[in-house]
Amino acid sequence: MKTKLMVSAIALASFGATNVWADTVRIAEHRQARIDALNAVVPMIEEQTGIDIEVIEYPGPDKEYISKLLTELRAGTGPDVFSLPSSGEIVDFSTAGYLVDVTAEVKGSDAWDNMFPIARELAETDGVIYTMPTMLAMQQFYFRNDVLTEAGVSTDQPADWDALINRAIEAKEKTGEYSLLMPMGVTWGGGTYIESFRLLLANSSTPELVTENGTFNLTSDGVREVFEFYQKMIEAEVVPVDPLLGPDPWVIPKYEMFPAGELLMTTCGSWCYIFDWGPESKNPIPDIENAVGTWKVPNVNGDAPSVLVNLNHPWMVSSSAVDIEASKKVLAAMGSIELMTSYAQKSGNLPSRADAIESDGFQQLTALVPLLDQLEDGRSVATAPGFSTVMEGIGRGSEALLLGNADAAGAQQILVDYVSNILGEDMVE
Amino acid sequence: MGTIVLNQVRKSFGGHEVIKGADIRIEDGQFAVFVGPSGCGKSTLLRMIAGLEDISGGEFLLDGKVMNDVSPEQRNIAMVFQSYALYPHMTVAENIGFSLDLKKTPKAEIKRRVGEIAERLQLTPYLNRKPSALSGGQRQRVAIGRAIIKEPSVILFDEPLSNLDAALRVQMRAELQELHRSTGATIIYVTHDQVEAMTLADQIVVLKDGQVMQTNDPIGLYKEPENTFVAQFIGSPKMNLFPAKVESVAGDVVRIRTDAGWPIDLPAIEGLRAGPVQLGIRPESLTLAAPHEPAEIETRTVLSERLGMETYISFETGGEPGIARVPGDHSLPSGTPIRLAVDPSACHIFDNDGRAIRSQSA
Amino acid sequence: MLVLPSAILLFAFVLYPSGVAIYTSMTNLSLTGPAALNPRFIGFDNYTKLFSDHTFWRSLVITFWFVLFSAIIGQLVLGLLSAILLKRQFALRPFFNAIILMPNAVPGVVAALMWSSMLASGEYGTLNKIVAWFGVDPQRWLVTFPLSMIIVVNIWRGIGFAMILMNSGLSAISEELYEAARMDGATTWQAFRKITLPLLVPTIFLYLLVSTVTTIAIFALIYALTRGGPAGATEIVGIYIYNQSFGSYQLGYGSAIAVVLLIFSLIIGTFYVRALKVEV
Repeated sequence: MKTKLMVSAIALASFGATNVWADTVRIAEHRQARIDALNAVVPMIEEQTGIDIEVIEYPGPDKEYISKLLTELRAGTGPDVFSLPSSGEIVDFSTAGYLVDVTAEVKGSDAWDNMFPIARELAETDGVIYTMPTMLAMQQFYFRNDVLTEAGVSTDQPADWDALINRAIEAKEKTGEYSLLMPMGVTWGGGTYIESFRLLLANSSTPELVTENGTFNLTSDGVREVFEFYQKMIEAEVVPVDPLLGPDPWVIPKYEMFPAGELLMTTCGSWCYIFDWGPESKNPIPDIENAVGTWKVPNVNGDAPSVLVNLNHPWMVSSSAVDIEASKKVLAAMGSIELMTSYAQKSGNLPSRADAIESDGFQQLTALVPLLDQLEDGRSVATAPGFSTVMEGIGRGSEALLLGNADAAGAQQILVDYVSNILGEDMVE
Repeated sequence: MGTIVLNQVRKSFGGHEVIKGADIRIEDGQFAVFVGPSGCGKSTLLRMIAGLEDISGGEFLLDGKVMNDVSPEQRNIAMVFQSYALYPHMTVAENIGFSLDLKKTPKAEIKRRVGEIAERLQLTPYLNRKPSALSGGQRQRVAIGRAIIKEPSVILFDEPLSNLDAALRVQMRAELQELHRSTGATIIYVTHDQVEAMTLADQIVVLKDGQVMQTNDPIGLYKEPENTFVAQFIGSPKMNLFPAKVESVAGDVVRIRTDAGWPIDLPAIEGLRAGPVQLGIRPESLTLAAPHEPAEIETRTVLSERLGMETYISFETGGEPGIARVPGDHSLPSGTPIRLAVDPSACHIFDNDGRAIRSQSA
Repeated sequence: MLVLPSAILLFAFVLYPSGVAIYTSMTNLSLTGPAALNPRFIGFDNYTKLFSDHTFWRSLVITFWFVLFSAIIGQLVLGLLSAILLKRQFALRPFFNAIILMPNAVPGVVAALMWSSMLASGEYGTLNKIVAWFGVDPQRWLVTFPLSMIIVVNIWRGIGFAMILMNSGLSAISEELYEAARMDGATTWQAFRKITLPLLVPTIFLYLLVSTVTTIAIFALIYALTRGGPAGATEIVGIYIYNQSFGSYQLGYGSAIAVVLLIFSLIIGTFYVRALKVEV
């Protein structure tokens, strides 16, 4: 009798506790621009769902952000709703059991019906959806149109990789400035893969890393071609090596050298027009739409060039969320046009909803609007469980190239060794 | 050889002068004691002789050579410190042999000489012990061993017995005298204890406030103190000083009357004129007078301390109580009337500045 | 009964976490992927892997050099030297004291930020601006000499602590001993070698015990400056554990390294404590 009483008392107490929490959903967000974008639409989501929302700030750099998230999720705490920088990490999170299946909610939302096909493709794995796509990151080459034109260097789309590297060498000879940056090394974190390696690999002779049975093909020609291209960049001294080896490698080249015209070409995403050098930047380039142009990523053999499209910070619900139903409801509401426009304004990514394009808010972002046409040429690279390890291995391989410790074949070997060491030999093809 | 001469030696710390022009001469082989109350500068003077303190002014000569700027190890002087300053991480043997080791003396030679010293100081069983495993007296002997192995011409002792208990002190005093005899070195010994000074010294230097008050052998100091400070510092209990007046000088006799009204007749002293003086009488120069005997002092007791073989009697003087040290045991309750006889030949006269007035012939 | 509270604290903060770490080290627990959801017990597999993991051995070697040169040699020698020099009274003494002690008060991450601008490559770096005065070309300090630079920064940080400890050791040595040694004919150097050093041995061992163990565990300073790079050149064991656990997400493997490191630290600690007892 006593035991029964105790049990019901505990049950009551926990029921009460759940109720207290049920009206608040905690959303993790990081970096000031993104926090601002989210805060702008929080009142609207609260009104729509009748659920209170608390925005919790997380550390800025992606690597630290993910580490903190993982530590909390592992402990069963952490935010109810959060995002991950790219689709590369999602599979490692879902297989770890950190994510809630939200297929029904996402497919049932009006956002889904209006999404670009590539966004739907990226969100769905084997018929299951864990994320609400919001923004798309579109990545390609950005160049200083003004500086190259003045120096008499062609600004036409390079036909293949050789044309690209030769263009960089020519630009360096004519201006004396560093001419081509692609993220490399360990300290850039996921960026070494997402903003650099992936772009070239998708346009190499073997554009995928994951085989049909879920292992990684790291000894492929494509991987070797990418490392060879890196090696050429380093040997031709078109890439500024020093900053890439520092702890915050993006700061000097992207925020200082490129705006100053001391760096002429770099890979970047659409956000560079807004966040890195545009209106939201601390160091904006005047007349950016004319001063900075874009090239698609050329193909190694001269086939059609493409841009790389990826889900950017898609939203997901934690399996340890205090109130999963409320969190799902909030997630569904986060596919709104208003939220996408707000993020487009603050961080410069593209909405995943086609109908968001028509909104006044997006149409004001003149630098972004023309980029939407290129989405048709968008490509992506598939991922599989263990992909975070592959990304880290690519960082280590390219770091060895930067340090001059290895050539392209050596860098590839470092990648293979690292991944086999961590994931086991059987995961590497 | 170890003749020491200090000529107008001065020492200042900052602006403060602690040694104010000391003139001292110590003959080779003498046992000299610097004595005085704490703060009189006796240790500073010793450390200047050792070379541990600079000499601010004047000269220090050793065997006629000025040593002011000679470094300590080249003065051929050894020193035994108050707390012994034994090296705690070294054995007794290493402590004693340290100075030889520093001079790169061969190991066998060090061993032999340390062995000799240890034998002399009865330290042989302890050679491999660390200082922390020794008694106070043994530590003292190690410190002495460390000093004499250098065969110095002068050995300095800075209050070496102050950390020992009374019985051990008496024993060590004897050992020190034996040491002095056997080494023949000049010894300068600093203490604040006048008994130690009296029993050990050939020559005592009494210091006060950085100045030499008097230098003499122990009995000379006792019998002919040159001032009230020395008079009261040497001897126990200390000398009585009575304010008094010279009443009359008649032929060979001087009549002095103390402020308490006691008349005392003394043999005439050259240059003594009528006027105020201080009369000094040692407690042992007073005797209890029997009823039929003459007595200069008639008073009452304040307190009597009975030691068995003698009695210390404090008595009323009108000012600070006087004290008499009389043989035998006397039970005299406070307030008992007593009569005391004075030995006129043992009286000392001081002028109002405290300087002794005595006949040139005396 | 009296020891109960400390026993509870010991269990809650030492034994229990150690137990969890040891158990975790025998699983393939990961932060991501299927091994996060259903970790398997794999016995000593992590340990056998560890012994053939050359990166681990390399990080041990790096840790050894780092501790040897920064804590044992650099901080100790310079700390002792400053303690001796600053024992004398001179006009700028409080100023030098403050300069030496300040780095100790700065949190590791803040110190690292200061030094990363100091050591930055290219002409922006403060140190490069300084050496330019002497006609030296800009250097990539943290790339060309990463371990040496980390050692320099850690020495800079630790001198103060060493100095305080050495200072207390020195002041426990009676001034009379030095006077006795002078009377015995010892030069300044002989007095240092034969009196100061032997009497400082207990203090030095205490310092070595504390500094070896804390230096092995240094994290923030190195992580903020180099993250263990470039190419693992500054990956001391603590950083390697972090990189394995939170860079490669291999919690089980990371725990195995941590357990091995714990055993190493215990051995070193026991060695010092023994040595301390034997001396004096």
